[in-house]
Amino acid sequence: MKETDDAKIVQMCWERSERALSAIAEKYGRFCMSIARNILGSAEDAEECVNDSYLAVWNSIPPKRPSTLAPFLGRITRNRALNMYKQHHAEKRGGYGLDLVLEELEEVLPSRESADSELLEKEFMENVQRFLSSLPPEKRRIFVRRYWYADSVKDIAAANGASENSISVALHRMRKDLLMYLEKGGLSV
Amino acid sequence: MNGERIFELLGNIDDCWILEAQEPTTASEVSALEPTMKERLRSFYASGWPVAIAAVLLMTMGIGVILKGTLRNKDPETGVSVETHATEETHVMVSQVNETGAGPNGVTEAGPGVFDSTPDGGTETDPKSGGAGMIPKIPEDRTIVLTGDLITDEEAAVYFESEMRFICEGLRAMGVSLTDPHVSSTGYCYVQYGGYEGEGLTVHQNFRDYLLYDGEELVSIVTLFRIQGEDGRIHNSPAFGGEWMKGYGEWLAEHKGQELLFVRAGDAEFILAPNGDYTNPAGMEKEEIDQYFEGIAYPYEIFYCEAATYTP
Repeated sequence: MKETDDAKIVQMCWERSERALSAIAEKYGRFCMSIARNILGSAEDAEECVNDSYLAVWNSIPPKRPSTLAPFLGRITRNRALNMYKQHHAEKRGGYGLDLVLEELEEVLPSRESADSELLEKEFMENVQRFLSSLPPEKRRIFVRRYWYADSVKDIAAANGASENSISVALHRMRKDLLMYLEKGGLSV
Repeated sequence: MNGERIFELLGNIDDCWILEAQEPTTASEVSALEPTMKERLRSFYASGWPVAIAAVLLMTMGIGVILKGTLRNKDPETGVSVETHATEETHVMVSQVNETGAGPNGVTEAGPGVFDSTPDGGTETDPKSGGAGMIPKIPEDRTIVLTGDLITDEEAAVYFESEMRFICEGLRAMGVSLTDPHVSSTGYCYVQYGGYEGEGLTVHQNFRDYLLYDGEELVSIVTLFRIQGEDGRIHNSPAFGGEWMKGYGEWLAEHKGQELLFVRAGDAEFILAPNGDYTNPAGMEKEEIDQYFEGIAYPYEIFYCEAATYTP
């Protein structure tokens, strides 16, 4: 079956055509599943999460009209999966595919206290965006695969034709560099 | 803020970074790249099995040569210490060359289907290369092994003729402004070491970079690559964005007319100019770069391999 253009899928959503959902599943099913599975660890939970995400897309278009669906859909799936992860964690159930990723991210915690956490988070994100812009594309891809897509080091290594050790080292360096970047921006000590 | 909150916040990074890192998971991308074969091969390369297989082959051949009494000892005239050649059937040929060993004469070509490696590349246990932020040790054996099915500039030109439009469309979708796009007519590979455990100086000829300019400005580096077992089909992977690309383009422009050499040491990348100048496109400080080439007066000579050169 030929895939449908993003613009057409969005248009179908606007026209409330249910074919939009099958087109989304056809084109982005694997993409969403891989994100959800990386975060949740279980295929069953991931499937539930992805189905919820399709519904969320259906409910948010209209009014939204995203030009490219991958980041839009990916973000919805990621947020849903993270919420499920939190819920499972609170209930102490499930395999936590995300645990290691979160542990690594603890290394780049801004230590500055701020009464206005919203402002702190805004500053944090501005620094992260600048940091990502400064990275060579190969490294940035590795960073984003790990901390956005929550990919395992093993999978990133396989996709890059590198050893797990070299990917771990590269990630470690980038976390260290990010910490330095945040320090320069006055967000950490 | 905790790790969970940071992960949540990172969800808001720009769309372009998400798209840039996106793997071929949509149905059309998957069928275009045949990931099963690709993943298998990459996993296979990363697993260390090729190194083990090559080592066993070499040992077997070495024993064979010894038994035939043809193993030569060091020749005082030429400085050649050991020379071992595989049979043509195995498509492996590894030569240890003279101890000054640099340059095109030190280049060894491996046939397709065998991942070549010398055992003296960077190791995790080496104090100089161990731990976080490690610097891979330059292999003692300076033989440069060429692997993979070479992508020629002629093939690349044909490929770009049909694919350039799609590459540009993809880049535009990711926010790269392109009004006058054109790609370099020649490409370059990398001399690399330390990326795989135990990897010696290697040029993967089936990965070749081409520079994509918009007018005078470098906007993307398009890697063309070929996966073994796919009937020679070429794929592309464009890198783009950030200050990095700007610095890269400026450095190339400053060294116009020079035969630049591209080297990758572990996860760090360097461009070396014949006049002794060098850079790390990621903006690494000179002192840090020097640690990579410590004790080497003129790295350009050590790493020189024509396939890894480009003259802007």
